[in-house]
Amino acid sequence: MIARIATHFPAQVLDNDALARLYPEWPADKIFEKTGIRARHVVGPEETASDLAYHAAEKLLAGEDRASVGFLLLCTQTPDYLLPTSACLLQDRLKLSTRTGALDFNLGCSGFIYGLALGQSLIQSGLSDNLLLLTADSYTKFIHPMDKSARTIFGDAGAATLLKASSKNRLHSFVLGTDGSGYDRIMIKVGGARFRPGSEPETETTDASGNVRSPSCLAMDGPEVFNFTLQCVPALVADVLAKASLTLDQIDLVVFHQANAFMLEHLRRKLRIPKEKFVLCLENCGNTVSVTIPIALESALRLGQLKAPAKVLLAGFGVGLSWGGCILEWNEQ
Amino acid sequence: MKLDQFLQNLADLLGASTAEVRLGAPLESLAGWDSMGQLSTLSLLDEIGVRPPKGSLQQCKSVSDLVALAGAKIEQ
Repeated sequence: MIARIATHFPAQVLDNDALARLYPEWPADKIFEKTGIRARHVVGPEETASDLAYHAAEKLLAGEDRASVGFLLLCTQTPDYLLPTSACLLQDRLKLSTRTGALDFNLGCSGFIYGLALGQSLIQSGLSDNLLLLTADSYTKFIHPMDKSARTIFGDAGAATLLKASSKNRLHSFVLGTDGSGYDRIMIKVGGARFRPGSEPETETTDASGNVRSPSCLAMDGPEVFNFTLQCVPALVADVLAKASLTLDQIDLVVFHQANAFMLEHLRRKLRIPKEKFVLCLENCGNTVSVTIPIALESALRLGQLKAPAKVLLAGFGVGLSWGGCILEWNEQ
Repeated sequence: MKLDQFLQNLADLLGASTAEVRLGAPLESLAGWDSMGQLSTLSLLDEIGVRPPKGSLQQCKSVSDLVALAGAKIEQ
């Protein structure tokens, strides 16, 4: 099912030294110790998530027959426009056939898993044999410069994943879930239809930890998101394993959404996952939302951490609140 | 977990001394009590089987409030 993955990062890099100059109470080594992140790529003023998706897709499609791509799914929460759908712009920019179906879906940290589930379903329905799943986001455009809790965590990136009707690198045992009561734990309040830009004053507020935000900026309640994760992820892992009739011992590699290293290490210990089976891949890119899992998979392949044959447990969780997991049977590089 | 051990672990996580992390000490007086410190505290509470209700951690004003949040999981 998963044929290939390619990723793309914007050129501009924001490292911990630069952030520590802005937030003297958080030295660079403390930022790394608490997040596991040394640097993150950030888009320039003229660059968007669709640009990142485009460059990742161009890498992926080099040598591929573009006419064979029957469907394009773009997962992003930072589209170019409210309308039209960014996937439509990408169909044209990537010179895909006008017979290509294309749509955006708005999910964050769970988005790659949802994309795999949607893509597999579209392929199994017979609608398309080859599907291009793009995940891309540029959260950094929406983070207040003095919101250290978000700015130390998030980076921008794009990934392109080619899904094919094939028994190779099969996906199964999908578990998806949603709890919209936590919609405000990660949120950009202003900019959609309910709160139009200018509908309320751009008043800056500072929380108890000194993070500055305004209504059109990303607001993340980190402790509450962590609390959600502690509840969600162990149950998600158990549900996926039960659906697959597998135990954790039978899993060769675990790839979670790369939220931050502190959270991941706590989850790893809580679930008793051996270090050698657990992928950590955010030191030089940060939390790239729906792009973290394909980045981690590509890195694990490159570093030899993922070798066929392998059973891989994938899990994404976060903004929404939304979560999803599945098993990837990796049997061909 | 014994109270002394909890306070020691909390001090380590917040980058503070045990003299600073004492019962009654205001959390805002601890330099490490920021969003990262709160994540660390949640991980400590989770390790002893405590999952605070939504918003309850942010309502804690002192180290004593954190101990109260942990309730019977801490041996006084």
